[in-house]
Amino acid sequence: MNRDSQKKSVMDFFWFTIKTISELLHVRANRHVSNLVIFRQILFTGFEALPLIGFIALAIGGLVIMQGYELLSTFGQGIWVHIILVRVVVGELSGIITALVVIARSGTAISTELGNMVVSREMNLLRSFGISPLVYLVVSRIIGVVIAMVVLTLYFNIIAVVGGWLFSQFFNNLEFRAFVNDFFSQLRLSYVLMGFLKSVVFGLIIAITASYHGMSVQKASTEVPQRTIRAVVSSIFTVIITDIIITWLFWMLQ
Amino acid sequence: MMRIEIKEICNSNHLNCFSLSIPVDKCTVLFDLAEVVSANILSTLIGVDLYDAGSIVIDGMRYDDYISTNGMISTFAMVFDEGIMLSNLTLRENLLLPWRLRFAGRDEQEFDADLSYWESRLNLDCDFSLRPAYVSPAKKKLCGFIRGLMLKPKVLLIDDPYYLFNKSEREQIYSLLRGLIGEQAMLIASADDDFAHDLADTVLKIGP
Repeated sequence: MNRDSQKKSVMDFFWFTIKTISELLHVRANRHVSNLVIFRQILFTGFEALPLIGFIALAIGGLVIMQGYELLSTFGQGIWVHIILVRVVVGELSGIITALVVIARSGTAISTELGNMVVSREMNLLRSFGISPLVYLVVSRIIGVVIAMVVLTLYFNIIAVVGGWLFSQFFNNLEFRAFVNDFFSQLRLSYVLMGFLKSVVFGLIIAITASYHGMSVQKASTEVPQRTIRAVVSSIFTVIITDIIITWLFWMLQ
Repeated sequence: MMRIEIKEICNSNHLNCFSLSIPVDKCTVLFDLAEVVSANILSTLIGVDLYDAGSIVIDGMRYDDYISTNGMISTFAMVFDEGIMLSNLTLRENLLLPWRLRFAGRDEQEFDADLSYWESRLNLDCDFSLRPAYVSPAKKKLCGFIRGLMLKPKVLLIDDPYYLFNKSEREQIYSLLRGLIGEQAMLIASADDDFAHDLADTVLKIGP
């Protein structure tokens, strides 16, 4: 790709994002937003990802407690392992790991599905009904992915805390209630807000990037996997950069 | 009777530029052996092929004004040559989506009654709960015909009616279209003599 076409591609992406967000802001007045598409997206991105997210969260929660306890107990401060759980898992890992799982499952699926729909001229069919493909396919999917992302991040946090407690049983027999009390004593509103903001922004980034690349397919089916790879790479890159920015902003505000 | 005036239209690829006056009463056939310009005309009418020069006038009104006044879905319905369906929906949902837009507020029972009427008229035996990928291309195209007819547009646009069909299905489609004359105004893009000689009340020959 030469520099000119790279510039054009970046401009196209920004134009697509602006159009999509503008449609998203008028979502209530827009009768072409499909509840069926939103529901199916939540089902696929959210509900069907629960076992995988649950497994990862359980393992991460447990491993953080295990490593943290080992490190802190050498200074006789094993009790402060909850701080690590709150800071590392709730503040950072839950959002980023959930985002990576959603990129791997749903980002690729959205990009591939939309790309194939372009190839089989389904966008033309929607236009022939007077329906905007951007509203019907993209905006509906964005809403679904954002809702699923928020729910999955919350679910990740809950399972990670439970996983942390289960693993802490190996080191000291702590009551669940006492563990949860210690956890909540460390939890600040700013961490909850940061986690929520990240899940919403990551959901937006993943859905918009995947949709943009899917809709950018021209005619050939060979473009579909190429576009999907680009969607994955761009999503991961943008999510990580955004994560750093949001964390830095919250750190500055504290 | 609708009159469509196409003036100096050039598609975005600038390969096909054309001017044409198309009267649509009962059945107008765009007889085009190359099947390119006629298909372009139909896609331009449903807003798919964007054009960056020229104008379209329908019954004396600019295209955009006409469509914003009357609505795309009640003016034109297209039967695509490949019987395109949305792959993320079942066949029933594919038919229901535009029907709901066209007849907002109507009961779904009316949709079901209408669907079974056209199903029996086309002798179509099809499981509408399936996704399009699980149905043969010919059946998909027949569903495309049903979708267009159920919308009861002012003009039904049909691109290459025989495409994807075998001999018996062609005969079936021919008799269906013959039966529709006087019932539904049609604009057909085709290179088949059947339509140009026997069905059409107006034939517009395109190309050499």
